[in-house]
Amino acid sequence: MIKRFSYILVIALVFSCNSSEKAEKAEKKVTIVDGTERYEVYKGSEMANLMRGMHAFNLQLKKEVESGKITTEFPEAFLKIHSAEFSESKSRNKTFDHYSGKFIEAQKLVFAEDSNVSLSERYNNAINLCVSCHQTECTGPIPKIKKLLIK
Amino acid sequence: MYLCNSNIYFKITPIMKRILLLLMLATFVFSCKNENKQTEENLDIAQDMSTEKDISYSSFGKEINDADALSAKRMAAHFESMSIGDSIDTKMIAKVDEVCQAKGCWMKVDLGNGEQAMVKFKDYGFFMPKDIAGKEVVLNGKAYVNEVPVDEQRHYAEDAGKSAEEIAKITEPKKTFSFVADGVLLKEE
Repeated sequence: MIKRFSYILVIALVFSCNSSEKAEKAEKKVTIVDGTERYEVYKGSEMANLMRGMHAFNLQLKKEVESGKITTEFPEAFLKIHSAEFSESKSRNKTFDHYSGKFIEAQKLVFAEDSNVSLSERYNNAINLCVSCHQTECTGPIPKIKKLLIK
Repeated sequence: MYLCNSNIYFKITPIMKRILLLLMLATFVFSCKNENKQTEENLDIAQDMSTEKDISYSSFGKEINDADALSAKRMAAHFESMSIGDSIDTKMIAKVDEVCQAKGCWMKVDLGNGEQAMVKFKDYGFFMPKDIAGKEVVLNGKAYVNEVPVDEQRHYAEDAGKSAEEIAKITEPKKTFSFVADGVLLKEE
């Protein structure tokens, strides 16, 4: 009888060990899908897309300014800043009109050939106007814009 | 001797049976307890969903995985030990409390200690769905502590749809636990 119980005890121990091993071995199955296909996320207004384009242009311009040789011209498409549609939650106001006007002037000055102000200073002035405007309305892109500045 | 008598030894078999049964029960109970302890430790180190199977995530920004992500509680302890200006590269799991209702360009997550972390997305490069409050996310990126000026706090309050009264109550800069995420996983129910 004792032998039988000993066998049962040993079998019980073996099975309890096996079950914990199985639990450890069981791998979780993880699936990852592109969230933008499953959810509706903000895609960007006409103004947001224009600003992304301005960022990309100035990223290239920064390299040219740093090398001291500008090969591009002021993009006329930037003038759409005065008419482009905003995101639903935002709207054109006096502050934006003030800063956007100043920015266009400053950006044009980067391409001026008869200026006494250094090229990098003119370029940074334009970028700083972007930062100043965003501080009043939409602070999210500021870190990204600041990376455009020449130090 | 009485105890050495094999006949007597076998006569007490029913008592032995009970003892052996008790031993078996004790073995089962203790092995279960040990497993539970291990699970609790794992939960604290990694995540409370490590024991679940068939997890589905929606990915935003850079594609990441949930391996070695810290629990919100552990991350809260890290934040508490950091000073303004400190930062660490990390991965954490947390529950979403609030999302920017204008664009989904920031969210606040629960740190499990009554505090929240303000999450933004690297280079303004991606946005989150606006209706995910209460859901669990895995965040990968940089955790840091900063001081948010009044203007910026008011801007976030506006984005969150707070009333003019609530916005007016913001009058002081606030020490903030922040996170810049380059990738986010949203856990599906």
